[in-house]
This record gives sequence, structure tokens and C-alpha cells, in this order.
Amino acid sequence: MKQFKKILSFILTLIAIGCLIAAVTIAFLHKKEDRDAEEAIRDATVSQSATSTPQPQISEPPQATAVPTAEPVTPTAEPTATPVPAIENPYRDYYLANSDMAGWLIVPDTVINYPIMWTPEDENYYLYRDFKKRDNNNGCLILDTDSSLAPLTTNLIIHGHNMKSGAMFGNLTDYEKKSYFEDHKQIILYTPECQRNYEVIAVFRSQVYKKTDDVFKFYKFFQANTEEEFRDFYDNIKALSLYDTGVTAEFGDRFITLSTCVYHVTNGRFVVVAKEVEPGDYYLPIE
Amino acid sequence: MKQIKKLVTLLTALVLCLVPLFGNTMTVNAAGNTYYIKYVEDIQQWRFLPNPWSEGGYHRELYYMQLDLKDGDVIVVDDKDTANTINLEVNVNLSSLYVNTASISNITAKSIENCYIIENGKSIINAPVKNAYVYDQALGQFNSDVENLEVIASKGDVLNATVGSNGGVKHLKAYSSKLHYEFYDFAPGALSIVNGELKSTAGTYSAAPSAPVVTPAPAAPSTPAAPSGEYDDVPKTADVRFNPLWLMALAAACFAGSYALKKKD
Repeated sequence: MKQFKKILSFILTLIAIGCLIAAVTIAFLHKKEDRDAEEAIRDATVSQSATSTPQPQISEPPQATAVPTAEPVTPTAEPTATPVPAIENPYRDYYLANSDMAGWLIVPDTVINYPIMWTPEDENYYLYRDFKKRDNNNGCLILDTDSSLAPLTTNLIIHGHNMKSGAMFGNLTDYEKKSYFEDHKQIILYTPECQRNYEVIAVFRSQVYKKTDDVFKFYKFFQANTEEEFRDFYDNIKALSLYDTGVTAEFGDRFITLSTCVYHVTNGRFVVVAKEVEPGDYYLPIE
Repeated sequence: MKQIKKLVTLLTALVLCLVPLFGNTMTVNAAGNTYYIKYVEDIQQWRFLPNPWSEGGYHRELYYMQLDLKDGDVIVVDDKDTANTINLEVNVNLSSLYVNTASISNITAKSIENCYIIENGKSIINAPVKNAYVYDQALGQFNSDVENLEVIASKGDVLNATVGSNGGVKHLKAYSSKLHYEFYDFAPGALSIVNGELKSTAGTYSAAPSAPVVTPAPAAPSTPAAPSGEYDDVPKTADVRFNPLWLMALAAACFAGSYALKKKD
């Protein structure tokens, strides 16, 4: 019996050492993967000489820089009479580095500062690939294939991984707290044409349902051609919202929806919907 | 001797613990074999290799490839330099065909699941194709039916491909970073795209599918319907990475167990 206990104790020690080594190795590999994902974006830009870039046609001094401000953008009452200045797209090099890139998403003062990929022929292509198309569990932010930037659909749905490291949409669930919402009302989307600004309108938990379920499916709303279609989406997101954001919308408004997995139910999703407000800079075509 | 035994046991246990980590690096290629075809100037023949082409590789006559080919295999015809055409006839169902030839390649097969004509490739395809992809400046002529045809500008926003079909085309989509056009149900011989521009006569295709291109809607109860347990297709964005904290917890439990056993002694 004593001998048996000795052997068992030895085996348990071996297993413990093996588990520790494995845990350290896995943690190191995860860190490396996160670094690779960041490097894939950082190193992806194509070097452009100053002489080869076209000179921007600026009819008046730019009213805003491409760097997002922390102050919320409020809609103006009337369209401005002066011509909109066109400047070079701040993400031009990224568009040229990877033609699958549809836009760039920033939520100011958060880690969300990533390219958005759009691959209509294979929606999940970048689910586990980085910007350089290498395998990476962080993946990229994905624009739903039923969303479109040209022509622009009423709702743009962006999917991103809920990484435990906090990367991608790993901190999106912080919007559960109203205090977090108060400090992070603004979302910015840079498209090839312009800077699009949004303010958060609803935050809620939902899920992916079965095909035969007859319920409100936030992930099925892309286009509102009638007031009725708009109200169906708007009334539901307002009803589901964890708190009142004080932001309202009407037929004709456009939205952006950020979605990530959560685990409160099977196929759970955490969703942040924002309404488009006044756009920012307009950009020269990317060539 | 005892020390050696201990060491061997320890090393074995370590290896057993680490194998699951690296198991994923050993991928199994579930698809068929891949054959690379290229024109060899020295002997003025098209030859093949069962590996990515290397100049020193032991390439063989296409006859031998024909003997080896089976359903599910992949063929890559990649020769951007030669002015020589290739007529390739294979009596199998290919899972994929890749073509990037400077001159026209005439390819015949039983069927092709995925057909890629890329860059400046030119090809005549004599086989029914499930998914066809014509990229950039490529030229593709499909002499049998095509289920899904995509015309893609992978660089920039301008479509440049030229595509024709003697068979019918069920679904056509042309896009770059944006969708250019999308149509359905081209009649046999009706599809014509020249330098990215759709030249087909109106009336020979439709703007909407005449039949659902996705799984049909559930039928009446007496007929088999789509599985009710099937979920909507939405990207799964969970963090699939294994949390090493579980291993550390297991290690702590094992250390505790080992210590408890020793203490009892």
C-alpha cells in the first residue's frame, strides 16, 4: 500500500509539472499570437514615396483632422453651404495592402482600433485569419456579407471575437455598465469615401436563433425600405436595450451594429447598436 | 538505474502532456492529391510534378498523371511564360482546378467543383463547374453549365475579366471591394462579359433567382422539411483558445494530492 501511494504521489507530481509547463507554453503561444495579430496590422502598410502620392485637392483648410476627437459629434440643423474638402484617406495604405479591407473601426479610448474585412464569397475567411491572411485565433473584424458600404445599407453589422485578452471585441461587454456608455458614446467608421460618425443608441444581449424561430433577429436587419421595416428594428432594439441611452432615431437614419459572442445562453450575443450622425471628412478615391 | 528510470518516466510524462499542444500542427489533408503542370522548354513538353514546381524536380509526362488521377484531386496549370497551349483531358471529377497560363489552356474533365482562372490566365473549360472564379485580367470560356460564377477584381475596383459560357449559368456575381452586379439564370450561351462589362442580351437572364439559391423553405408537414434544430448562419465569435488557467488549476490539484499522499505516509 505504501509503495502504491509512493507511485501515485510520483505520478501526480509528474502530471502537475507537465501541466505547469503546458500552461506556460500555451500562455506564451497566446501572447505570441496576439503580437502577430498586432504586427500584421502595423506592418501591413505599403510604403509610398512623397512624390508618388497625389496632392490633395483642398478648397479650404480642413475642418477636422483624420484623428478622431473624444467629443461627441452633434448633428447640424442645416447642411453647410461651403464645399466639402476632400483629403487623402488616412487608411489608404491599408486599403492598398489588403483589398479585402472594407473600412476601419475606432471606438475612442478603447482598444477597438481595427480594420474591418469584407469577403462576400466566404464570410468566415477572416474569422481566424489576421490582416495578412495568416492563421490567428484573434481573427479580424468582419463586416457581415449582407451589409454593404457601396451602396450603403441601412445597417452595417460587424462581428468580432470576444477575446479573453481584451483584444478585438473582448471589452465590448463593458457597455453593460451605463457609466461606460456615458464615456464611450462615440463610434467612428472610416470608409473609402469618408469618416462616418455614430452614437450608441442601444445595448443588449441576444442570441442566434434557430432558422425556424419566429423572433426578432437583430442579425437579419440590413435594409429598411419602409417605415414599417425600420420601426420593427428600432422598436425591438429599444425594448431590448439594457438602459435608456437617450438617443432616438427615425426612418431614414442609418446604423452600425457591433456583435460578439457571450455565454449567458447558447449562441449568445452581446450587441451594441449606434446611429449615424454627421459625417466627418470626405476622402479622395484610393488609387 | 533507479535514477535513469525516474528520468525516463519524467520525460515520457512531459512528452505526453505536450503532445496535445502540438497535435494541431499535424494537419491531415482531407482533399485529394495536387498535381502541378508546367511547360518544360528543354524537352518542349508539358510535364507534371506531384509537388509545387521546382526546377530540379523529377517531372514526368502527363500520361503518368492520367494514370494516377482520381476523383477529388486538384490540378494546377501555372505557366505565365510559355506561348504553348495545352489540351488536357482527364476522366475524373476534380475538386479544384487552378489555371494561370499565358496561352489558352483547353481543359476537359468529368466535373469540377472549384475552378479558379487567375491573373492573366486563359482557359477553356469543358466540364460542368459548381463554383467558378475568374480574376482580374483572366479569360474564361465555360462550355458546360456553371452553378456559381464570380468575376473578381482583386486589385483595385475595375473589373477586367472576359468570360463566356456555352452552358447555362445559375448565379453570376461580379465584385471588387464592392458589388458591381449580380444576376441569375443565364440561358445556355447567353453569358458574355467583355473586360468586366456584361454584354448579355436583356431577357436571357434575370435580376432575381427564379428558384431559391439557398436551401428551399420548409415544405408542407407531409414532406421532409429543413431540420428544426438548425441555427441561423452567423459568424461564431467566441474565443476558442484554451485557457491555460485550467491547466494551472489541475497542476495545483495534483500537487495538493501528491503532498497529501506523502503526508499520510
